[in-house]
Amino acid sequence: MRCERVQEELMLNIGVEALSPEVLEHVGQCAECRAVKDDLDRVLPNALSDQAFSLSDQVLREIQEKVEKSIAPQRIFSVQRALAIAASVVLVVGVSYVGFRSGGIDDPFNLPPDSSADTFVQTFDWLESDADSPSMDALFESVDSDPYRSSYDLLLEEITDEELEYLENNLSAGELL
Amino acid sequence: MTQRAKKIEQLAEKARLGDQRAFSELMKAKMNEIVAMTYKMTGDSQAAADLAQETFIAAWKNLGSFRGDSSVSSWLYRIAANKTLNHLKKEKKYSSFDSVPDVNIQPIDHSPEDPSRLLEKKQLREEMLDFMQTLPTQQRLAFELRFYKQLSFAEIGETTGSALGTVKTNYREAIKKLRKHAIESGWRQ
Ligand SMILES: [Zn+2]
Repeated sequence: MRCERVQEELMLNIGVEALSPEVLEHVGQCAECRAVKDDLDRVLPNALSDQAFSLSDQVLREIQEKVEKSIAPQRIFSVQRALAIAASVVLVVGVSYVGFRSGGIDDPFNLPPDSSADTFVQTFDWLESDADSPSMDALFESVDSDPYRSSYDLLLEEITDEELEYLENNLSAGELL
Repeated sequence: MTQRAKKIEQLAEKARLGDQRAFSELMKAKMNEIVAMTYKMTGDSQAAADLAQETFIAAWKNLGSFRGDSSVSSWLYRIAANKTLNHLKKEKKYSSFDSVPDVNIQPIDHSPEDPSRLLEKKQLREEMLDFMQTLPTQQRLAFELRFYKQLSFAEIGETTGSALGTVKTNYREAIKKLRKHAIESGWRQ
């Protein structure tokens, strides 16, 4: 092996990868190449580990906290967000009402069997006027246990920023309302 | 693959599926290395902290595109390298002065050690930082990724977008200069 090639191998691999048997054999016989190897063996351990170049634990913690804060799902309070949520609610209630009217889903308002509500107005009239109707607390309890109601809650509380962005970009509140 | 490397890959997989807690664990495990890298590359502790922060935010945003054909560590180094190179380009653009390495860092030697050895380490660290700032950016990066992060030349080529031959030349030049510098400044072992 030529000295030039050996010295190149030494520079490229010492401290990182194992040297080839050919290089080691050459170094054993050649004073010039051995001097290069000895130099690098002396110098490179002094380059220190990564640990010596890091910042204090306090600084590292602060960086981590900033990143965590930045990637946490954020709640943006804006008119646009409020409108988008309002539009979503109208959409959900509308779908629920249509489903209810067509008998596709269970009565989300848990009406007594003899009640024949034609519109929301009538439904709410009934809620306000009928003395024999279930108490409001009981009504909400039964509404809360309804699976459909759960998805309604989910939409209100868990709407993601991506979904919100989609709503904001693709639908205007006016269209929905 | 070491136990630690395995654990890190598992955390990355969970984080990729949206597990933010796993990402925090991953960040904790890799923070030291990323900060050390951005610090050696810039010689500036504030910039190093900012770049590490940007690196992890970008990693979280792009985890979906991480396909796992490289290790998550080298993927993070790649992001940190890109962020750092952009930062250095901007620095160069806006400043006619070479950046002066700051020495305002907190040494983080956790193990109890001989005070004279600590001082020696501190001097060496500062010398090493000074030395690294004298290297052209691509040589500095090749040195950082090869010597400190133990990447293969092929991986460095992928990370920096350079040809294999160029990466080897950059690294060899850095080592040659380091040898010369160490001899001239009489580094002790
Ligand atoms: Zn020789």
